[in-house]
Amino acid sequence: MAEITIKNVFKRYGDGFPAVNDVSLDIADGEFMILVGPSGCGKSTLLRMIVGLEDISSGDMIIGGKRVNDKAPRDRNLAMVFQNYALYPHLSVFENIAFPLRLQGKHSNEEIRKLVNDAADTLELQEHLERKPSQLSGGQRQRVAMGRAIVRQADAFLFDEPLSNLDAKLRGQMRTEILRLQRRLGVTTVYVTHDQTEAMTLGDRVAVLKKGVLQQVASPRELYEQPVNLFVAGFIGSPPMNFIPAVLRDGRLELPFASIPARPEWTNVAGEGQLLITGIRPGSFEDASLVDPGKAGRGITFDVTVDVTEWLGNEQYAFVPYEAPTDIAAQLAELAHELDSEQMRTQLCVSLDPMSRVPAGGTATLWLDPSRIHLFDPKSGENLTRGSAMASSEPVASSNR
Amino acid sequence: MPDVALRDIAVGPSRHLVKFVEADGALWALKELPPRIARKEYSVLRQLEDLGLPAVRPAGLVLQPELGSAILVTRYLDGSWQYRRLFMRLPPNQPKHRARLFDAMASLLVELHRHGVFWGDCSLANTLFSRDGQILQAWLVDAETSEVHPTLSDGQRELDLQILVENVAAGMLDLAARLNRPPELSDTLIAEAQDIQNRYQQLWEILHTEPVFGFADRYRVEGTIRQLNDLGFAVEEVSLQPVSASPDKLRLNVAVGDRRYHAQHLRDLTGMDVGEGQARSLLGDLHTYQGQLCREAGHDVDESTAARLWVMEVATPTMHQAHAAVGYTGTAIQAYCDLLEVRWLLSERAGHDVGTDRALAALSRDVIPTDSAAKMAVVEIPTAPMPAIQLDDP
Repeated sequence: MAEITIKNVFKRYGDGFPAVNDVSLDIADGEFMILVGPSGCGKSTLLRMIVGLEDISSGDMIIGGKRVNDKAPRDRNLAMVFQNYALYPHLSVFENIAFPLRLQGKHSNEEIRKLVNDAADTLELQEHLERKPSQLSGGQRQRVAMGRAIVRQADAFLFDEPLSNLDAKLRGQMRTEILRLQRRLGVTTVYVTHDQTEAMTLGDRVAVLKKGVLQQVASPRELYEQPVNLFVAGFIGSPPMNFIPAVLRDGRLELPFASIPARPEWTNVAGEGQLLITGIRPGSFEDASLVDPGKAGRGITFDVTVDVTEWLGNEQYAFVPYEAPTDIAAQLAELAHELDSEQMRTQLCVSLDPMSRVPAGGTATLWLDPSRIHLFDPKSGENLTRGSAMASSEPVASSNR
Repeated sequence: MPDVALRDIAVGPSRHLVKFVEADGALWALKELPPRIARKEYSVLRQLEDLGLPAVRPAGLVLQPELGSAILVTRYLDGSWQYRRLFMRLPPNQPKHRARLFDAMASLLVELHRHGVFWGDCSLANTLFSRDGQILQAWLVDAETSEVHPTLSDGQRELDLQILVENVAAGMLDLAARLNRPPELSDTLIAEAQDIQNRYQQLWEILHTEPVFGFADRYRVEGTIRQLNDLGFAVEEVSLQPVSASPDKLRLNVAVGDRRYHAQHLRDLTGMDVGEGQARSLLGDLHTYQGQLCREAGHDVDESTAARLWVMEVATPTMHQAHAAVGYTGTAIQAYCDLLEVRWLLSERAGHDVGTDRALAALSRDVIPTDSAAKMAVVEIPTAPMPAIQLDDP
């Protein structure tokens, strides 16, 4: 078991391009840390620097209190899990788990038996050790592959997009198995993914990266409710947060589809006439006719023309196009590009109660709680209302889990 | 899709099923996998093709958006086979054949690494082999986990090698279990798999060493080049840089090219296009013949003249005889290489040259040393057609 400390780490390639740019990150002993971001954000490079596959251009990599910058991968005592999925059909489950230990040549047969038995207990494979892989269920076979990592008694587990080449069903199963295993063993874990569902469901904390720069490290809930900037706000959450241009004028926030009395936390951070980008999660809206009367007074209502609705049984989405000034529209398109997203940014996505009968092509009256609105600086992308938006003071209506 | 009974084979969850299809007079391998992985693998295989590395050749990518999957199409590699095929057809415990196999894997990994390719999942199951004279060629067939970089770090190379050793050891143990070999063999198999690291290191060092020597010892340049040529590597560029600390010393830097030195030389002489291992055997035969011509003529016969005569007088007719002797399995070139090896082995045993006819006879009756490279011809014998499974059978 070990904590991992990453101090001002850079990775520069021959052309000077920093693939990892001054990243500092403390991963506590036993913590499950996720590295997430769109392709090219540096997450895999960072993981490879922890393992020792990439040389570190500058900065310190400290594992278990020891600087490991110059240590070979095998001397770092880390396990890359699922690097090697293959099960050998003619070897018993016991041998399938034991063979990395036999190869190391450091253990007696007795020690190997104990290590494999302990791992089998953890993985609930004890009764299957003498069987062949073909006699196991799909989930049990995955646990055999995990067993190989466990018996190495590594200080930390590392996963590099382990589920990316599996189909959706298997991915769900494996995610659960990985989480269960990590909780049971309490081993420090670093997990790289581009999939925000994996990031949000697995991690104690999530580190979001963009073009080699660490944007925010926080619990999944904090990332969702208090994103530091447009990038994090847009990356975390599905469907993504709506970004809508707005102006503060005469004590009101003017949105393309509504005018809202300004709140003090807005006027404290933005001036009269200033162009802003508001961020509103789809779940912050409701069908006005279905709002709980106890909270209806807290919000405002407004009419929109609904373009399309998507009814999914347990949830429903309505899409509302709006006009945006060209410079803001261009900036939102740029953001969508950075996020690897194809979302059309000049339409509002609204999550509605599945009971709602809002008609496609017709007019709907929507309800919105203004305390759930984030304001972003269009130039820097910074969240101006972070810490003041009320998002954290009440349960999230539509969890992304 | 023909109506056939399919069986679930126990493999890891990341394995994607490969199906083989015959179309347009050629065999193709089709693998269904998620589009993201398929695109990546296709792109890596294309890069490997551009780099001229031993890997299966990609033929196309079929995207099936309605199914959320893709099919990667690769060309079937003619004359290639899986390691299981060899060992299931040989008598038990064949350390020399195993050594040939592991040599081929070490060479393949060195070739990939010096071109910046990280394999990520090097295993016996992900490698195909083909015969090449007295050696084997290994080919990468699965690039799902592979990445191409400008260069690899030592850490990347080390990890790839570690994966190779683990996978090869497990693959051999698995095969031994399948063939009911005694458990005592396990330790030997593990030790042999671990020794692949040494084979790799030796070759890597020869290719990357930058020896420093005195100005007067420039002849050592010649020695370094010869060593590389003997291993089959062409030398593309040689540079000598003064060592800044001591100006009378030089550091030799060699840009190593393809591993086709002998093959290229034979092609220049004869137009024959063969593997590097085959070329080495054939050039040996050519040079013996050249020596014989010189003795008979009483003066020097140059290599290119000897080569023209050798093709007409020796190689072409004997090649056909050798191919007939092995029942026309495999290629005529390889049959000729096998004949040369068998003649040499029998001659060495007899203490004198036994001649081509005796070697041909031994080859046709398959009375050849079990650990000879020629014995690997067992892989060329086509698999007999399998009876269809009758579900109604009791």
